[in-house]
Amino acid sequence: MKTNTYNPNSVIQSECLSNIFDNRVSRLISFLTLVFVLTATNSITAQSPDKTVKGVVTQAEDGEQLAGVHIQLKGTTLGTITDAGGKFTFPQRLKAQDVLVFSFVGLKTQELTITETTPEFIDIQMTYEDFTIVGELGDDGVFTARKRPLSWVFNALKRNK
Amino acid sequence: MRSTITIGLILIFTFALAQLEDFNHVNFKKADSIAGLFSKHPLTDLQSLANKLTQPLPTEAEKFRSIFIWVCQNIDNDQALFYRFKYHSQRKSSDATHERWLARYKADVFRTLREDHRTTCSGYAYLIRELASRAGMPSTIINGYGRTAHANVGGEGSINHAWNAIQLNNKWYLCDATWASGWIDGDKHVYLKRFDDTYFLTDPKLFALNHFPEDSNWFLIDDKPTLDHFLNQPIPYAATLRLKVSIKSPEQFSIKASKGEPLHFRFDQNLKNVERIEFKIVEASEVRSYFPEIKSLCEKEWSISHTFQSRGVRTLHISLDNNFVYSYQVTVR
Repeated sequence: MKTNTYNPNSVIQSECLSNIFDNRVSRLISFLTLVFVLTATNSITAQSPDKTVKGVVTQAEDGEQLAGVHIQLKGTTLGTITDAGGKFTFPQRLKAQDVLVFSFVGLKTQELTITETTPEFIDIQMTYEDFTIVGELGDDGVFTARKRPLSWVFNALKRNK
Repeated sequence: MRSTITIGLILIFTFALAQLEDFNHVNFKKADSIAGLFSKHPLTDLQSLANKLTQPLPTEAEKFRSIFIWVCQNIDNDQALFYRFKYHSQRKSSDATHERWLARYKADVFRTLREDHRTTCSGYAYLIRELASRAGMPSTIINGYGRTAHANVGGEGSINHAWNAIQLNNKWYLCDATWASGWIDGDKHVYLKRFDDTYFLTDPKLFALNHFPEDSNWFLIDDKPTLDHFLNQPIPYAATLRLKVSIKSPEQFSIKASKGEPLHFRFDQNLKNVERIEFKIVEASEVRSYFPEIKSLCEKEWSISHTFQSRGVRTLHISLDNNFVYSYQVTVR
């Protein structure tokens, strides 16, 4: 008859059982963690999938498509320029918070922050710099009274010099 | 402790000296040669151009010098745009017509700059501002009255010119890339490229002889002239600024003189270092030269004079060592 006597083997057995149980729990936790991490990662990726950004750049005032607009990924040297029809495809896939800088001589530099909702084909309109243009140039000529033929006096002064 | 004080004093002294002499101690040779490496670089990517021109240089003054030289050497004056502006300014048009004209002109100025590396003053000033700011130096475009032998002489004056202010080591300086790059020969109608250092970080007092900013804060001097004084003073030339010649009197471009009585011209600068001082007097179709004697009036004043022997209206030019420095219109009675 088996008595409730101390049996070292049974203790060992029960410790093994508890180890097995512990392992199962820890595996379950690991599995749940993995599921959680994957879900989280997936949701982040879902928010900002890499995307190829294409578009067209036009001049706001007259709608002319601008060729040669420089487009750069801010903080990098990576960039491209628009083709003859003002179109471009940025050479690198972009993610949320990336900033594209559009610059063109005479037009205001524009920045575009990529977001989840940025469409794959964007329409950028650029406006002129808003300072008043003036037209003076270098004039090293000598003053001549207006009544006289200007060129004559100028030549006479040069001859006399 | 003592060494800290000494270092502090040395730093203060160095700073004071730099403020005092500004950039006399800077050798711009390296900046000039770097600017020369990127001849006719396209204007598509200004950031990359600004980086190439400035990154190898250690000081802000040298970085800006490289940008200034590049713009002066690679951008040409465009005569067609210049004459278009000049003729339009002389015509009276309604506000709406003027606005339309300006919009078209603006588009053409920038297209010519982009495609042909040619422009007028606004294009030069724009490019200086864009390149400097991309290299981390604050800069601004200043519009105002530019005075030449053929612009803003008397009258009400017109805003015809653009130049820049640039901040280097927390101090503002003035420069004019248009007038530094070369000039239009009004006689032959050709553009002559010739770099003139006179308009690079010019002393604001001298700069005010032919630049009157629309916003008077950009004179960068306390003693600001009035517009009336500016438009009616004797006509200065680039050499006037280069040789630092300031004339004390007569202060007006158009002056009166009496037949047989000497007309005096007083300077607050010793002209004795000048080898050849000359009056060139134009009357009708004749140009005559006179070589006056320089008189010392007191410690800080010198004068030259001329006596007219007949009545009439003349143009009188003062020339120092073959450089025109001032022109007057004299009515002799």
